[in-house]
Amino acid sequence: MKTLILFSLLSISSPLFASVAQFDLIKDKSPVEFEAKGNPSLLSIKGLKGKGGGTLKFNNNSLSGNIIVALNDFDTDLDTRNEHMKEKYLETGKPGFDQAILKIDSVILPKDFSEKGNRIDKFPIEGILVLHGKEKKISCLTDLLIQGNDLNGKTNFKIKLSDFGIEIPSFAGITIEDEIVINAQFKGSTGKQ
Amino acid sequence: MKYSFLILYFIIAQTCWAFPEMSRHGYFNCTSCHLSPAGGGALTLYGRELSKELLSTSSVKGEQYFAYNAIPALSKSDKILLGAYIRGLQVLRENDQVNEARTILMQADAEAAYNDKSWAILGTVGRQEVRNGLESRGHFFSRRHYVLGRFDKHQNIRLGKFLKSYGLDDPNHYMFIRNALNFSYDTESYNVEYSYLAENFNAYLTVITNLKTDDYLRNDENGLAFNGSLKFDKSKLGLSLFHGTNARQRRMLGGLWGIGTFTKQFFLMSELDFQAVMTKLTRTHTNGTVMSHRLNYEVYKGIIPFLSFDQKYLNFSNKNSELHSIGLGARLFPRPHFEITGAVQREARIANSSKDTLYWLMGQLYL
Repeated sequence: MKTLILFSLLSISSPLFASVAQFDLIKDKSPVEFEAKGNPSLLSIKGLKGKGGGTLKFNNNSLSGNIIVALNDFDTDLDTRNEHMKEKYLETGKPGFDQAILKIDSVILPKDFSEKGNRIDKFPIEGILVLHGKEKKISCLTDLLIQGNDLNGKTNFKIKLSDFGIEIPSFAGITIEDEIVINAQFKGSTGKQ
Repeated sequence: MKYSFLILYFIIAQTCWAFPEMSRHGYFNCTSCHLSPAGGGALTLYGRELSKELLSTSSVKGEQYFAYNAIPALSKSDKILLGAYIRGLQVLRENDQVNEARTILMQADAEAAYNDKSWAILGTVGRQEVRNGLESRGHFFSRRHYVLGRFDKHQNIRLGKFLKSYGLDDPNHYMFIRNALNFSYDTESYNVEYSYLAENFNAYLTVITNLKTDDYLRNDENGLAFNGSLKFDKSKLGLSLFHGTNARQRRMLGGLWGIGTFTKQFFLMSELDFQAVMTKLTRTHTNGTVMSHRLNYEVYKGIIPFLSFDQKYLNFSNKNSELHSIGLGARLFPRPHFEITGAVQREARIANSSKDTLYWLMGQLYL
């Protein structure tokens, strides 16, 4: 009987893992930022206002999905720099270059995922990042929490511009380092609320 | 009283034209905008971009470059940095005895620098205002000239004539932390400066000499200065130390300063210094404090009203040395190349309750 009650409680608190659930990411609640270093002067340049869209699908203990970010949304606080970034370096005017896509394909979550209340902390999730017409395997350290119909999480990873065929940006005498840090938060919903 | 404008001139003059408050936009190190590791003077190309995009109320494309981009190869060069500065002041002082107004040409300098990856060289030539009471005449001089070496992306050494780094390094010399400590106009000196710049920390160590190449240089101290600061998000907290000697006295200074960024528009600049002076002849000691605070709010891009409070009490044993100043003013950056600052200040000497009202308006054109 105790086992039955316990099972019932677990089922109520984490209904998801009995089956399949798909979360649509809410763009306005899924900010994506990047941070670049510029030299000389050790300048920290942040690209803000990126928004993560797409879907994440949980199938028992595996995770799949796409996170899509429109590159034209990024704002570095200087209009001219934004213009250079988008037109000269990211070349967002070219077909398919206007967005970055993180493809996650059947990543197996830790066995204790559901035992920990459908939560993972700093778990490395591997995916393929499509950017500037190139693809590159990356690993993202990810926090994730599923509560009822809501998904909340955050992730960060580093990329090298040169891996994606992006010319090293230089603007007004400041040259950007090759390595860029990406930070993203995401919030999703199954839409069943 | 005829010297009052001479005093005002030194009090209000601005020369190095730095903007330490750019930390509110996330620019912690001065080298983002200036060639000098300690800020002020020649603008980098990036600094010109920021003057257009972050400071100025309005602008058109290309307006921010040297001489309005008249010679694109030079105007947009990140190797050859050129500048020219003309600054004037209109001031009015009122009290029970006097009501005086005057216009002063404060600065007319041209500046050129060559900026290579690991080194740079800079020099200015211009007119120095030499005053004797109400009389004034121009004097050809070089306000600053130095060579700069960069060991790596963190470490720099600078040799030459320039202002030592101390405290907020705010160029507005109406702040008591500048004029009361003799760190104001024409106090450039021949120095050797080592600087370490990091993302969240920077430090400047300056050996100061009293080498005189110019009869009108106002610095006569040998000494050592340290200025360091830590970054906290878009705010800064700093510590400054100074030891200086001249023929008359030896003095030590210690100060805490900070730039508090509450929002990108709303920010506070504060500095508090303690000074201990030993007079050599009499071997007497004089201790005191100086502080300046300026609370700013950018109501619209390039329009920054401020409230200021300054206090100097440089001799704790003499109440006459205590002076307060409360001010209301605004800084305007209508377009790149222009800056207008105006304020009304009410100054009160605490011991005898005498009060002065000072109105001033300063305009600068830089190319």
